[in-house]
Amino acid sequence: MINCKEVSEDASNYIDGNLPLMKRLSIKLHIFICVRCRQYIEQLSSTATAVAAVKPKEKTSSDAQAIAQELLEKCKKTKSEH
Amino acid sequence: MKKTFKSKRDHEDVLIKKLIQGDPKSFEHVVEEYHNIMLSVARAIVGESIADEVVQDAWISAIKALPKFEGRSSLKTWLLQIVSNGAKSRVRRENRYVPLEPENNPNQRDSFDERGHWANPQNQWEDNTPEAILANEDLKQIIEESYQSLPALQRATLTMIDVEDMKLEQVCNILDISASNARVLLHRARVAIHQNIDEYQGKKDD
Repeated sequence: MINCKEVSEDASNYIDGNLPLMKRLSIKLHIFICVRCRQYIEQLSSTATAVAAVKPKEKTSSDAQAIAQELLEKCKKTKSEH
Repeated sequence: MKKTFKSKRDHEDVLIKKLIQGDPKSFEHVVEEYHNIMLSVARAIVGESIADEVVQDAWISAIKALPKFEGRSSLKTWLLQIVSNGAKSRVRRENRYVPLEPENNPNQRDSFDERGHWANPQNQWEDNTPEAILANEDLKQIIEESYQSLPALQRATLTMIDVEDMKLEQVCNILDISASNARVLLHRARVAIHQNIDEYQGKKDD
């Protein structure tokens, strides 16, 4: 029988469907009985889904418009050199 | 399904043609779409100090190579391969050492006892669905800040898999990591963010 620590370690794999059948069933059975683990998996799953929707950005001081403009200029310059 | 795929390809074809023609709006669009993930990948491979430079170079190489783009992969994958290759050769050329990331995130509390039972379980969450989380401005900020505080490789893995919905195989290819490594990194990133949300939920109860 797997314990809560083992369930938590495989939580992402479980959420993503990346486990062999027996392991998946073990966890399914465990969370049927164990409220804390069930809650943990639900929370982790909600976290992953929320991150996907928030689409957080890398911390950077440059903005897309400035980068695009600079890129365009560099490319035009290169073209005219040929 | 097939129709959707075809439209996406068509859309990309049109975009690429416009980029080759030097259409400014298309440049802006493509940078907005892909610069973040390219930066994420570069930072994971070469570290923060030269990542910007590596991405700049990648953009320039990509624009120059656009006429030769055959569409065998998506534009996103193609761009990431260019960044990845550029970053990896900088690493080789300069013998750069990117410090190994810590085994566990700092502040990761010991949640389990010796028997593997919950010793320090998570809180009950008032905002316990994705929709509830997204409706909460504080939480969106917490997600953004937690994300930015992640070690670079975890952050890149999380971005590619959860945000950009990329296939594991591509992620492994681009970041040069094994599938099991990628899964561990993804899990750690999610756990770190979960922990910060959990802390907030705990304070909310008080």
